[in-house]
Amino acid sequence: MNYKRVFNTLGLLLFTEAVLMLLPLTVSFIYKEDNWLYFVIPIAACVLLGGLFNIRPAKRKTIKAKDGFVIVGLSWIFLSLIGALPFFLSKQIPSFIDSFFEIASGFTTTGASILEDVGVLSKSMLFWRSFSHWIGGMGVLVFIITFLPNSDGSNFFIIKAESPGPQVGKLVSKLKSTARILYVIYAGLTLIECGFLLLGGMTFFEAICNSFATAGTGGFSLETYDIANGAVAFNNHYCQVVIGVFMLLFGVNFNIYYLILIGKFKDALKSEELHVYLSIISLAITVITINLCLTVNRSVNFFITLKDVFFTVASIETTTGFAIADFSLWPTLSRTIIVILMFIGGCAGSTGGGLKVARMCLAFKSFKREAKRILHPNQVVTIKFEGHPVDDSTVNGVNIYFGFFIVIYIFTLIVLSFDRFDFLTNFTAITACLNNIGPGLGEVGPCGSYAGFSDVSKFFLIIDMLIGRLEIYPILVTLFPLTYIKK
Amino acid sequence: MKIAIVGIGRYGREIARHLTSEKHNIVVIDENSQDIDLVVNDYDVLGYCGNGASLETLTEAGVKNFDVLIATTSNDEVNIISCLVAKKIGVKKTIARITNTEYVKQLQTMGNDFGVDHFINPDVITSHEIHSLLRFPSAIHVDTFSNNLVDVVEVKLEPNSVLVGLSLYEIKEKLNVSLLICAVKRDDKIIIPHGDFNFQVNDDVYIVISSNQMVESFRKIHIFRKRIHTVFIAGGGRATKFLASKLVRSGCEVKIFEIDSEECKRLSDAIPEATVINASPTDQKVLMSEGLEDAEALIALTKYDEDNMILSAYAKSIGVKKVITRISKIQYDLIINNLGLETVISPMEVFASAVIRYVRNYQNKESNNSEVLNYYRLISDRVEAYEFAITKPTKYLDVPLKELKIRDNMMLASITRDGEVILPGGDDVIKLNDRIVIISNGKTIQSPDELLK
Repeated sequence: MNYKRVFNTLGLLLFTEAVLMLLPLTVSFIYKEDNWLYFVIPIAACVLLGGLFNIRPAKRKTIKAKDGFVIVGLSWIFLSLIGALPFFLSKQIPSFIDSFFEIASGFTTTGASILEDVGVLSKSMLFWRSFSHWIGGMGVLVFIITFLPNSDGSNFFIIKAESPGPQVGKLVSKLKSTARILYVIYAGLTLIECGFLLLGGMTFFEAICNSFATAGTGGFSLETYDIANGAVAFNNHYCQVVIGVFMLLFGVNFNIYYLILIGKFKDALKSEELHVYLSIISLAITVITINLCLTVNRSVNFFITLKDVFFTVASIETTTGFAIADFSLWPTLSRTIIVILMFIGGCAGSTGGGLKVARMCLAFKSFKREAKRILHPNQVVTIKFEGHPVDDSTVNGVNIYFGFFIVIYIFTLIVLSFDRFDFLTNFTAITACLNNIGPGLGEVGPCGSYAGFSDVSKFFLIIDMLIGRLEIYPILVTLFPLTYIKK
Repeated sequence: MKIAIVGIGRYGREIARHLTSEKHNIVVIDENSQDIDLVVNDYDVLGYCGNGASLETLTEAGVKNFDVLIATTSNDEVNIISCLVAKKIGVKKTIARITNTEYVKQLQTMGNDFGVDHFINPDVITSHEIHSLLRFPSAIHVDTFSNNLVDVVEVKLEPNSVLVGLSLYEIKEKLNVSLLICAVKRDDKIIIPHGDFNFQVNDDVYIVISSNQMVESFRKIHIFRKRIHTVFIAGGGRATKFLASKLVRSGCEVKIFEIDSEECKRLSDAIPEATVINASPTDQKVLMSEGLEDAEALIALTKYDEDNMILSAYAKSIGVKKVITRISKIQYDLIINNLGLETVISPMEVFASAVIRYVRNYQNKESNNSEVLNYYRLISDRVEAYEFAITKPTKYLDVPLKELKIRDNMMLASITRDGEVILPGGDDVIKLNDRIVIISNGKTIQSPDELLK
């Protein structure tokens, strides 16, 4: 393993984090808060460590898949550890594990919070929290590669390890250009949403932070809305709809936006994954709305209900996790569908979490194939996705991924069962963290928080969040001792 | 530029390796998805799995209106069709790898109809390369340019070489010979030497010589250019046939060793003047009984790299002066010194260099700023040589070179005036209508003015 290159890249990541932290630092000056020291210390730590890791530049720059995984795993762990410092040092979040949880939840775009009242955070901290969603959404290493000089293709291993989806490809020949294009689309959509939210009456601070959280499909909001008592989250219904629409947009494969940009509309709209994605959403909205209208208090306006369902389905399906209605109070059918949506997740190549629509499609097709083979054992069935045949190793990869997922799930479930909560809370908490959604049901529902968990439980949930965002393998490889042992 | 490579086997990979370092946008197309995966992970290219000769594949891969398409599958016909289709969808230049000599004539006459702008036969260029190496047996490598008037010869300084310990100035004084040494490779670093540079043992020295002055200059520095009369070629095949024909025409005695009797018959028919021996080329007894120890050169051209390497090592150990080894599959760069192989030919590298040269020339012609007439890469592509024609009066005309401030990593290698080659010394000047060759270590240049600070 090319240790020098791994540490060089880690150092580069720390420098980047230092630069990114300048933004919340600026915010703390703008709002005349006394917090600048709590950002300067981590920035200094980043610069120091970054310099240390780059003392001996690697002569041999090539890396293999294993190095890519370790680079991504270590980067995100360091990113979160240091990113937790502003919260911890300023004592706005007193315990370190809580700070770690909160920022990891930020970078992994989960949006699960240990804060019972978000209002305890000052503006610069709130900014850092929401901004971390934006950085983590498209990927911090993808961000760095935008600026690195063109290297040999081995940087591709890093991108493949950090980007979600069963098959990661490039948009254009050069990796750097691909990364750039993705970030331009990402930033563009974020700014457009910000614009729409400003039109809805939000302040600039609110608009940009909420746009950050939507773009990364994260879900941190700027205040703990008292939706149990009828508060209208995000100021007004218009803003809610804007956020709902943009959540859906960020849950779409960014390759589609690229195709639209270069004028290939037909190819873009022909996407199989897009069709499945939209069908799932429409079906879910339809069933839940009917369910709610038939069972819940009839006096509630139909359109309000529809808007609430639209928003919630969009939020859960794209794994954002914003909540404007307490869906933990919905009837069982609706809640079941919500939980199912939690597992499906967004499209591959989007900022959404979960297992990804693409994987679901491939898994379903592979099940169909196996069913056919039971009847006709020698039959050869090709699995096609997006019009192209998919080779068996990819299909097997998807099924194995599900297997790993289940194992991690069960393991965490056992760990959490030592804690104090009921099964529904534990189950949905893990679901919400592994799939990077945020709120679950029970104690961690839209009106609850993760505050009640023990430190051990929180620690394992943090690992789950990282595992979910990085799609299992980078974290497993990084934490597995055999990776480093030379026989 | 936008370049597509169809066929990503060993030849295609070598081309991809060279081209990606030049900031081109590259798409590779092959039917084998595993080969594509390997390339995409090693080089910054876009990979597409499919039949490179099909319109559908090329269109989907986005090859429309690309600058260059290089068709290098193992199948000539596929390569030709690929070029044809590429031309139809707007690709500007096409290059095809053609192995079958039967197609050569028709491509020469109707290449345009087939959509092939340029075709390269790896066996032919490999044999050219070997032939030019045989012209300078003391040399490790030879690059020829400027219309065959100028050669750059790579020579390793042995401990007993007269150049060791001298500086460039001293060479001129003591040995009374004007040598133009355009680059020195020491410990894998390339240096462009100036007057006070001292030569050490094991330096790889790159000497620029004009083809007609060469014998005299070399004699003075004790590098003898003995004509090679007897050449042993181990292994039959196409490259052997081309090489043997050339050698026989220039008066050499050629012995070919080939195990397949049909192939032996074909060789014997094609080249009656050569001695064809039906025996295993690795059979040392046969080689010795045919007089290997008296041979002046052995060219190892069997199908197997391993056999070639062992054969060469054996030949060197019994004192054959010039041994050339062909290696196609193994990565030999690291082991070449350890095994004492010295001169190794990789058909892929030779092919890739030829392709790159064509691409680079095309690129220079297309770029409006560039006045480059010809472009070469020397010393395993680490040093670039540019040929310019001085067509406009500039401030450095008619000024003695010793008064011009030339950039550190560059040097003026030769001046060709009225068909005569001048190896420039301090008192020479550049005149209007001269063609000059500038050597640059690292910096890309577009015009001759960039030679000066």
